[in-house]
Amino acid sequence: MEPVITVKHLVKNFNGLLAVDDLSFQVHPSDVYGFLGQNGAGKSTCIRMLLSLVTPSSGEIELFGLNLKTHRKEILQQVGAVVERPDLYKYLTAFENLSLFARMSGLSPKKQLLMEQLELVGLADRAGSKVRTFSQGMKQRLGIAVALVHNPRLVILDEPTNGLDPQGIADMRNLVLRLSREMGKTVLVSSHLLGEIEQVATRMLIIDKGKKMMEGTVSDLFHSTNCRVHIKVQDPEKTRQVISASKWSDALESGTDGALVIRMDQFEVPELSRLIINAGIGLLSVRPANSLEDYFLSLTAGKQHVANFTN
Amino acid sequence: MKNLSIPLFCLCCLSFFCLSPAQAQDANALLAKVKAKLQQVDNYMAEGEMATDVTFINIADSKVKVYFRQPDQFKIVKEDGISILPKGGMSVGLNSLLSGKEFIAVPGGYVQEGNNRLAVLKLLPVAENNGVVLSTLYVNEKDALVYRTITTTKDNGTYETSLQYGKYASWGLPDKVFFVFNISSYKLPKGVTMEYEGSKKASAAKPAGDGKGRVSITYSRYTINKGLPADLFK
Amino acid sequence: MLPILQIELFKIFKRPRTYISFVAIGAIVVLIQLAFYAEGNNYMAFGLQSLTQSFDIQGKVLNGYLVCYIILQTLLIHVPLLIALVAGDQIAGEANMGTLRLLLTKPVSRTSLLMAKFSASTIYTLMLLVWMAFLALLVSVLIFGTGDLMILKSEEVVVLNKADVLWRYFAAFGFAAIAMTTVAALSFLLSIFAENSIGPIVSTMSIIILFTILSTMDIPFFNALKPYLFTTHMIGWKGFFDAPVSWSPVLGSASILVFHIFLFLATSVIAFKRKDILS
Repeated sequence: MEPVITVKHLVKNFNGLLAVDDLSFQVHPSDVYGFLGQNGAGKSTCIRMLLSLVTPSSGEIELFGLNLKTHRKEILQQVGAVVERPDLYKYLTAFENLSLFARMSGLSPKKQLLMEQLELVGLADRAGSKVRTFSQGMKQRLGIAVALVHNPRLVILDEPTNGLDPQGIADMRNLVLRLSREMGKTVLVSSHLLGEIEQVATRMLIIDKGKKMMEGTVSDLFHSTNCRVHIKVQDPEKTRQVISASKWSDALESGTDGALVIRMDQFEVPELSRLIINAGIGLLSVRPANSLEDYFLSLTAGKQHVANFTN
Repeated sequence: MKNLSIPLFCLCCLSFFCLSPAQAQDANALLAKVKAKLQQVDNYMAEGEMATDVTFINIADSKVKVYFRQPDQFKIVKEDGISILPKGGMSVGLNSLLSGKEFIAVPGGYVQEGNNRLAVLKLLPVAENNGVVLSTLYVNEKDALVYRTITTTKDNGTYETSLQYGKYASWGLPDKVFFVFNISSYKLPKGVTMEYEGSKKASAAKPAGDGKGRVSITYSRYTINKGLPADLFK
Repeated sequence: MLPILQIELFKIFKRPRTYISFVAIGAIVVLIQLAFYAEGNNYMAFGLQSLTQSFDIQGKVLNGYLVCYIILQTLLIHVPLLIALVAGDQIAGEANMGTLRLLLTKPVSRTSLLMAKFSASTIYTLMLLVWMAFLALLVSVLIFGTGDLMILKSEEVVVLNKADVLWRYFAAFGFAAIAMTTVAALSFLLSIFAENSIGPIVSTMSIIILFTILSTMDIPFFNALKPYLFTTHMIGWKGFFDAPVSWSPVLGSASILVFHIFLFLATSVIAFKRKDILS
């Protein structure tokens, strides 16, 4: 199937400041594509380039197989986006904002359709209220309604959970899953928090200082050779000696609370367990600590070299 | 009055003009004749067209109504509009200049103007508080019509009036009055008027004046002695 | 472009600040009319001093037409502020609110959006002028009546016949529309480069005030500059109150202003198309 987004060698240089550096990736239909990076890593600049808000210094962007430069209008008709804060016209009501942006997208929407959209994001009862009276979460929801009102194929959400309370974050997560699973939309969602992305994304891209650090399906990343295993045992000291004598001697890292951390391939876990048990040590727990959090932090902190995982 | 004036006239004539008493007598009589002619008109309302030619005033020719009532009430009115007249514009009307005022007439000889041989009368006002210092009349002795006046006033400089007669000559009323007067300069700071550069160019194209302004009134119709409301001159 | 224009007009007329201008003009005009109604004759005596020394002026000098002229002369210096208030907000205000990036992710070309916004600002400007014409001309005439219009210029006094005045006001308001659209275009251009609307509003006013001072001062060095300042041409509406109207300078001024509108607008389009939206 034709990719929804194809980015090739994308570069953006702001007067000498390299915000995006030779970035290439693809987003496929029905993907929930996680776009990860610390604040200032170049996520927003990249998303703005995808939406033609910022002109790339070089490189190519194709959406739905069309070049963004030459087919901007056709492309944007099929894209809905919330870029950073969901700012809307504060002096207009929720309904007026939604109606206005629907018309900007080339629709002549019926009142009922707009009310349905507001219903979808739980704002139907506040349709007539001015946006200035809205909480951050309500604005975010209205922003989503605005992004979805023209039924786009691709939804781009830039840091959608910023400023939301835990309930808002959960709602947002559910919404992203619904968009993808129930409505069949392709979603690109950016965040600086891996925890948010790993729960919803099917694929993800991690960037740092404008450069691609790694890209792949989430399951790939979980089953990477570079994950960490936390083990809890009855006799940590003896265990340390056993491991030091094994092929994992170099992979042993210090753990806390008597836990040991070993950097290893996930598929080696049974072998390790056998080794500990055979040494007569009581094994309490083995937890693969390869939640990407560690990995993400270490990557972006520059501790590890670039790894590229592809299907 | 006539008798009383003779010695005074003689004195005047001798000291100022060295003319004979006989001519002085004629001058006095002529003034009386002129006055008598003007006395026929107690009041009039005239319609006419007024043209103003002052370098710094740009005003279109306009229809005016002129009102007069004895002895010296005179008014030029532009119906529902604005008229700009030189101060002491009274003198535009001969009636208002002469009527009801005492003058000593001094003969000034004769001049030939076109077909008319005009007698020159110098008039000195008797009353101290009269605004007029000296007035010179050029009068045709045959019909007692005044064809030209030059009046010097205390406050408003010297005026010159030329008159042309036609249908209303028998009443001593002119068909056309041509009035020449001195003008001072006029200028306002540009910062106040917020001048537009384009119109400055337009007004600069006008020739500079000779320091005199001109107003002419061409009368088309007089309504004589039909009475005028008293509040008209307020 | 029409639907976007409707949307832009909807936004302009939904904002309270839009109505500040209409209220301000209403207040100023009514105040001037009130002042002339109460004290008009004293003002006239003072204003005509230079003339009444040697002339008798008869007739109703203080009439609706004169009051309208005085209002125009006073107000057309202040109106640019009211226009900048809206035109300077068009792009910068959206950038400040954060709505610009949302607006530009919609399938509308930047050029059409800009044109729609500029057209909306122009319509607002024209409505402001119509409002001003209604108050300054119609209400003044209702209060003070009509009459000949006497205008004191620096070296000339012009008296226009009552019947010869009204068309001049229509022409003058037409010219003022061009002049004020130039202000809107300038403000609009400055709005492209700013992230909040205070900048373009203050800059527009500063440029106009500075240029107007240069235009008004009668200093040889500045006189050489005058023809190149668009503010010099903005008071071209006064040209219609010459008798006869000297058409070539007035039309010249109008075309210089139209040229400025196109210049400002073209620069706006070029700058806006190249602008990276980072707000």
